Amino acid sequence: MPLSAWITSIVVAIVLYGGFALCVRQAIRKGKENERKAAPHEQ
Amino acid sequence: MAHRDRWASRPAFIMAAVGSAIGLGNLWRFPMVAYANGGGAFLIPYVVALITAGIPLMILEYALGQRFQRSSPGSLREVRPKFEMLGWWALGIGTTISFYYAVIMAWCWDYLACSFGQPWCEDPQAFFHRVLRLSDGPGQIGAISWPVLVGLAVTWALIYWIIKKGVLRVGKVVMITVPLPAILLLLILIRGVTLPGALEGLKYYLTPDFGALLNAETWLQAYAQVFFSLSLGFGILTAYASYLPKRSDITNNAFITSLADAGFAFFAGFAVFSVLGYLAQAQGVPIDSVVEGGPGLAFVIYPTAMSLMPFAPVIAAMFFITLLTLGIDSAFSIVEGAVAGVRDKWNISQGLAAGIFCSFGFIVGIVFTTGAGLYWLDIVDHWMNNYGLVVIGFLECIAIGWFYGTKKLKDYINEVSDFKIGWWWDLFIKWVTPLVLGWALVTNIIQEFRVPYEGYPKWALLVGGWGVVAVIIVIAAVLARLPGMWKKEGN
Repeated sequence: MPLSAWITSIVVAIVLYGGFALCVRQAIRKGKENERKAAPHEQ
Repeated sequence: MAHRDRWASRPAFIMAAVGSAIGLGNLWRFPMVAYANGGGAFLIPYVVALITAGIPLMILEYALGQRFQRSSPGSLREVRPKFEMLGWWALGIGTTISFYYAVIMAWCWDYLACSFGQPWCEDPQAFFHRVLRLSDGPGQIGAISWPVLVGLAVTWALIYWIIKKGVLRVGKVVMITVPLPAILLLLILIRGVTLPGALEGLKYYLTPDFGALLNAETWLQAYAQVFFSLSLGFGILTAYASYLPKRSDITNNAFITSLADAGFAFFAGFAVFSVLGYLAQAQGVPIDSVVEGGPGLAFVIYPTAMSLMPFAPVIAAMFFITLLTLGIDSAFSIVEGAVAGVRDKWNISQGLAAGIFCSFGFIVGIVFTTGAGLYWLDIVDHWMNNYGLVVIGFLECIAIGWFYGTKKLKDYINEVSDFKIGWWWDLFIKWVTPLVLGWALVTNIIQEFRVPYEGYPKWALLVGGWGVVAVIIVIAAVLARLPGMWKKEGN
């Protein structure tokens, strides 16, 4: 495969999958934060 | 104060939205559109379209549903009472699409049942001859294909079972139907790339032709692909978001859904083109001659390629289960969007609304199980995509951007979301997205009058195309005028 195909694919993969991973990580972090906030109320 | 149904959790909502967005088009449309529009270079306008139109419009649809706690007609009614019709119009288009989408699912059931017999080994065109019993044109209705009819009944029964209990059951089902096709496609991809000729296929998919970026058509195709793929303009996302509490995140949910959809489409291209490369080498023909999109890829080309592989029946079964699981969550999300609209306005039970809808869908879908069904499906699909969804997307942007005001909605979005949106969102909603969709619409109309779509007779295009669009608009206007029993929603 030509080098240009590799470069385009890798850049697009980083944008799509990297962006997806970052957003999911933020959602998980937020979920844990909400759980922590809710925990004292339940006690 | 009445309480609205709620998703069991945020992951349940995200999985449902991702499942709705990722459908058959990710597998059989995206790779072919990319291949025909610059190969790897197409990925650049695709990502640009995703950022400038797909994600902003998805944020808008989520925000509408979550802010007003209603499905599409109810939310737009809150914006301005006259806009309620636009919501019904969107649901009408989704409803029409569900009628034939269920038929495509029926083909998948039939092919899954045949996976171990592999009838396509003897006749590669078995799909047209044995399954569809295709007639010579849309005017020759022909006989009903009984296997397709049975598959259609199974599909509607399944849709009914999934949505009759509302979003709680949907949330459970998507935990299987969303990851399963990704896992199966990964297995097919692993098998595909280890076959001789696979790399040649991938070269066709990924080698960039940067000259295509200077062609306006490439950009138009990129915007169209993003728009069709993300389930925008159906009213689904608004309905799904209306089952979230008002304080839920919006922007991050939109980013996750959009990136998952685009990522899946990109990945599906590898599975498709590796197998096409193998088929071309096995048959000793150039790849161009085996490249085909749509049902031809799924039911003719791919089965032929699979029949040449070791463990063909297992690979075929995996492939058709992938198609079924990809399709089913898109199908029931459309139905749920429409059912939510009816429930919101007339306050009837979920089970009753779902039952009526699914029975009606099955009856109307019979048209597409006849010998002329594929022709009618093709015509209706073309009009729904090019003139239905595009117009809705355009009008939604105008309604919010120019009548409701992007600032009001943006303030609400920023109040509840992790990622804040700025001036760029106003720019995309007020200008960029409507201009691109308007441009797509004008180009499509000019093309339609220049060359009749696929050479079908004009009367067929008038009935199945403009006629169906007109009926949807009339029904939307009537539904909007009927008195409703709008509830004051609790949160």
